[in-house]
Amino acid sequence: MLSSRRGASSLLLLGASWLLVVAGLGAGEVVAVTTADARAEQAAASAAHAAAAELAVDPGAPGLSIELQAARTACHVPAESAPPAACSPARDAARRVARANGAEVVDFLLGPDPRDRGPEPAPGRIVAVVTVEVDRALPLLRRMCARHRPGATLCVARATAAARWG
Amino acid sequence: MRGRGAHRERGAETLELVAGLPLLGLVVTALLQGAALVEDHARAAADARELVRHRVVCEHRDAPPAVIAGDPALRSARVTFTRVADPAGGALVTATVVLAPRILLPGLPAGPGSPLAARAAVTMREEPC
Repeated sequence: MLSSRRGASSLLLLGASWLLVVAGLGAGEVVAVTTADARAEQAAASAAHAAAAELAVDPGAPGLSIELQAARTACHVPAESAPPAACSPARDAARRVARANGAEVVDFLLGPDPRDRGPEPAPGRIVAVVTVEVDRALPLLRRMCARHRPGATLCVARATAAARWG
Repeated sequence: MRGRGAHRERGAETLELVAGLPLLGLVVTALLQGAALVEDHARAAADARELVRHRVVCEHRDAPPAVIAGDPALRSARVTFTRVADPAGGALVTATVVLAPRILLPGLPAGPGSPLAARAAVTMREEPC
């Protein structure tokens, strides 16, 4: 009778220990997920800001703004197969800064500020919208993520941010 | 006789339970320590973001770090700024913040040099003046 009670309490202790281990691992995964989300948001904001800062020094920006208002392009990469060369400086600046923050640009878009729209396209403000992805580096799912990348939502954190030049 | 044996067994069980209490306390403190470290990391990331945002703007470049981020922990933190010229033009500024960890478990290393220190780095492009 006493020995069976002891066996039961040992089992209970073992079960509780396993529960603690699983809870610890789960907490680790949750921390990794939220950290990657925060990093992605920061990288997206920095990349969008870099595109806007590049447009501020780019002499071709007023011309590009007219193109954007006339809807001849949206500098949308990768949706546009051949965006104009004037899109490249802002896009490259966004890419460089995203990489410096451990992220990759997966979608880039420029557009006119709706408040500058008039009857005729004219130089105005430009809005840069950048979407980035950051590897979540989940401790438990690293192998699975290596097999299923890119695009597995569990494995990468995605964030979008916008910045305006002008 | 049988009654006395059962009584002794119960006493041993109580002793085992009492002996397990410090272990329980240690586990709870370890959990709290984990939560404190995670919070430190979140705070370091927020501070680095705020510092670099001000650093890339012309007018705010020379303000002292603690005033900018509004976090008193920054006074004892290690804050570094690096400025690298971008080959394509402009410059990239990186703010690195290393916050000393809040230690709850005795014996863990403290100070900004500790392996448990919260470290965060954020890079932004400098705005033209």
